Amino acid sequence: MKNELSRLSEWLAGAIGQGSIKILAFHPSPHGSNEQNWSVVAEVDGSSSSFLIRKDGLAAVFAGHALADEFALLQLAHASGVKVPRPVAFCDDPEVIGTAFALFESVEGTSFGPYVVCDLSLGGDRSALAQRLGHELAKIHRMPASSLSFIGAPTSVPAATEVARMRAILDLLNIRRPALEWGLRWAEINATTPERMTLVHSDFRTGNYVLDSQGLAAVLEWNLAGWGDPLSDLGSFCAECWRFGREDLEAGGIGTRCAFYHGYEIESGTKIADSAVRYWEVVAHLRRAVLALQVGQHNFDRRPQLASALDSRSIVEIELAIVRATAPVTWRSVHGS
Amino acid sequence: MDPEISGIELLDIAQQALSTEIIQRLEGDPRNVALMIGRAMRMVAREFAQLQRRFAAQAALLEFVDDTDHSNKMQALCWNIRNGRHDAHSQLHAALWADAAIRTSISKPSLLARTERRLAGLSENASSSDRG
Repeated sequence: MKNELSRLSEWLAGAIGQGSIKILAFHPSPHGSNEQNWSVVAEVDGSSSSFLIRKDGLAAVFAGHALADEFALLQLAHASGVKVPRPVAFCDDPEVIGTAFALFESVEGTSFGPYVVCDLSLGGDRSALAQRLGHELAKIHRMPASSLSFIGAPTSVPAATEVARMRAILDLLNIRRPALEWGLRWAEINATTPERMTLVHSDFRTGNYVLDSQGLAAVLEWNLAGWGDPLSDLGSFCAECWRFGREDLEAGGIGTRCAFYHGYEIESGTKIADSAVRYWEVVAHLRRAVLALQVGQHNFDRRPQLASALDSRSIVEIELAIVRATAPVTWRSVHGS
Repeated sequence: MDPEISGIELLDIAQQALSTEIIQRLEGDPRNVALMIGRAMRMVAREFAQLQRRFAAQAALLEFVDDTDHSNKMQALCWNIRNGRHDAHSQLHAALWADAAIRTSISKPSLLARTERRLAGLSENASSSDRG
């Protein structure tokens, strides 16, 4: 019986059109925020080539796209000129490595949030990097999402939909946290109809892009992308919970809000409504807290572990930010602002 | 002098032993796990030290539930917030802040200190603007 590596090398040879391939390494990749990404190093025609494999698995748990749909999204992003790992092939045969997977060209660099924020040898000039990320996000928002049938139709008030989704998760998990309920009620009261609807990445933040020594190498983690208010992505990027301790650098802990906005405005030709971005920052905190609760319960259900236990204690730090940002004076319908 | 020490002191000594005698001899994954154990021990020590304040903050939150028929007051509070009974309620907001602040002082005191410094700075700036 063939082992996993020989099955993978056989499949790879067919996928990239080479007769003989030898797998030199196959291990979890440091890129991305979960255990789905693996690195493959293969000898192809006597020289070494690196690939990234994204395994199927977590979409059903966290309501993301199926992996095949995510692969289609990456293909569209690549064709639209967005910096992503180049999609190579998709394998829907679970016999090869035990699950379906997508194959991408490897991307050199680092995505781990604390390193991205602290290691100034990464990403080149930080002001230029913040601007570049704004520029890249505007390109994402121009992607022709209507060509992807699985994306569905846009909703008129995406914030209200998002609040309902998060409440449903809390109810499903039977979790009662008044600070989160307070934040969700604030988000419901303050929700507005967006000026335009576009494809949104929905997890565009530090930790989900790769930097090399020159600058941006790739945007990762597309499995939550869908129709939405484009300003929601700017809110995620600027949310304090994704600054990894550099609260002073409001654009993802890597640069100024001004530089990030500037890059976005130049590329998109639109003027950013700062108050709307700040609204979405609160929603980003709520999303992170709810996701952390989901992940925590998922992990505890499988095997209790110390890292998960410690993570569960960090949710209050997100709640602190939510409560701070939602003081009574900021409630629109009550104060008419 | 009675040599018996308190639970908090015992945890502190154990945590120091872990830090000075074990962690520095470890590398890789075992070192990361040991660091997490140390972090967990410090958190438990802080929670012991603040237990009364933590319970008081939670009790203050539950005072916003006036219906004594509720068997689960926390659930009732959450439903009331969701249904708009406490919209923009400044005293509830203050109680939520106090509860989150105490729990953050247990899980990550450095974050609470940074947040409070920033709030103090904002407040000072606002006062300066008012004077200006």
